[in-house]
Amino acid sequence: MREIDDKVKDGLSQLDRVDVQSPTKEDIIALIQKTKRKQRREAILFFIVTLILVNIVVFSIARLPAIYVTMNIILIGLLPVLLVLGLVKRWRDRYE
Amino acid sequence: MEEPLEVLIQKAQKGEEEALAVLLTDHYDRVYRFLLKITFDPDYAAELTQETMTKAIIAIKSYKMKKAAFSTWLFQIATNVFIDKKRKKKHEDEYVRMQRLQWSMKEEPHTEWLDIQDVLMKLDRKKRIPLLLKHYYGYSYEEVGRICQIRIGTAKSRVNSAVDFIRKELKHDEGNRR
Repeated sequence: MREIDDKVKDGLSQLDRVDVQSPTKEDIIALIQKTKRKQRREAILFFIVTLILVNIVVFSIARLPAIYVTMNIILIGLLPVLLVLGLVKRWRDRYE
Repeated sequence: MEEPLEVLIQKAQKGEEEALAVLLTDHYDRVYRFLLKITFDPDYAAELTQETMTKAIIAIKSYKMKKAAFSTWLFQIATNVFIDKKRKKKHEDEYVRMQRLQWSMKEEPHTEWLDIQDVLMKLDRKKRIPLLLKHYYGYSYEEVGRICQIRIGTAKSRVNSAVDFIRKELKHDEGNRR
């Protein structure tokens, strides 16, 4: 067992000779910001798609004209989201 | 002055980018080397390390200090990333991979190492990762089980089976040389 242990350790430690190009702290900060932006974008997209789908299903069950679906999506979904995004952007421009 | 790990983790979980960046930069090499030992491919290991870092950024708030060390948590993410990608990635030519690995090493590796690497490459990844964690990094079976998300008994049997396989293969190689 010990012999195997040593051989595995020796063999694998040879791999530590491979040069690593470690990123700098700035690179990682850029990656963090990129990831957060992507996450935010995905969350908004998820919200919009869910909103549209739920509305279509509810309004089609209620047999209402398509114009109501559009109006409802704009009123209860997109306008508040755009308003919040606008506020966040203004807040960021001011404080960051 | 450098801040203790616990403080950095707490700050990172509160959303401080600088603290999270320090944490990830400090652990980058360790994660890369771990993935290199699983994949034997420097470029692929770098790609997986980048993805591990991205997953860690997303999941940092869910990390619990009492449950596992930060590096253990990163190894767990890296193992999952490797397994997920492996399902998608096509099997690559072992010879090309070996050449690329040797090319990226600073000196020419000795033949005995090439034998053991050959054997490890033949080993199924399900057994290779527990073996690496137990016999190279010195993790307990409980930690191996947590990282690989398997039961302790399964971890033990996989490590034992991997050791048996290596023993047989090395004996076989020696026999062939004689």
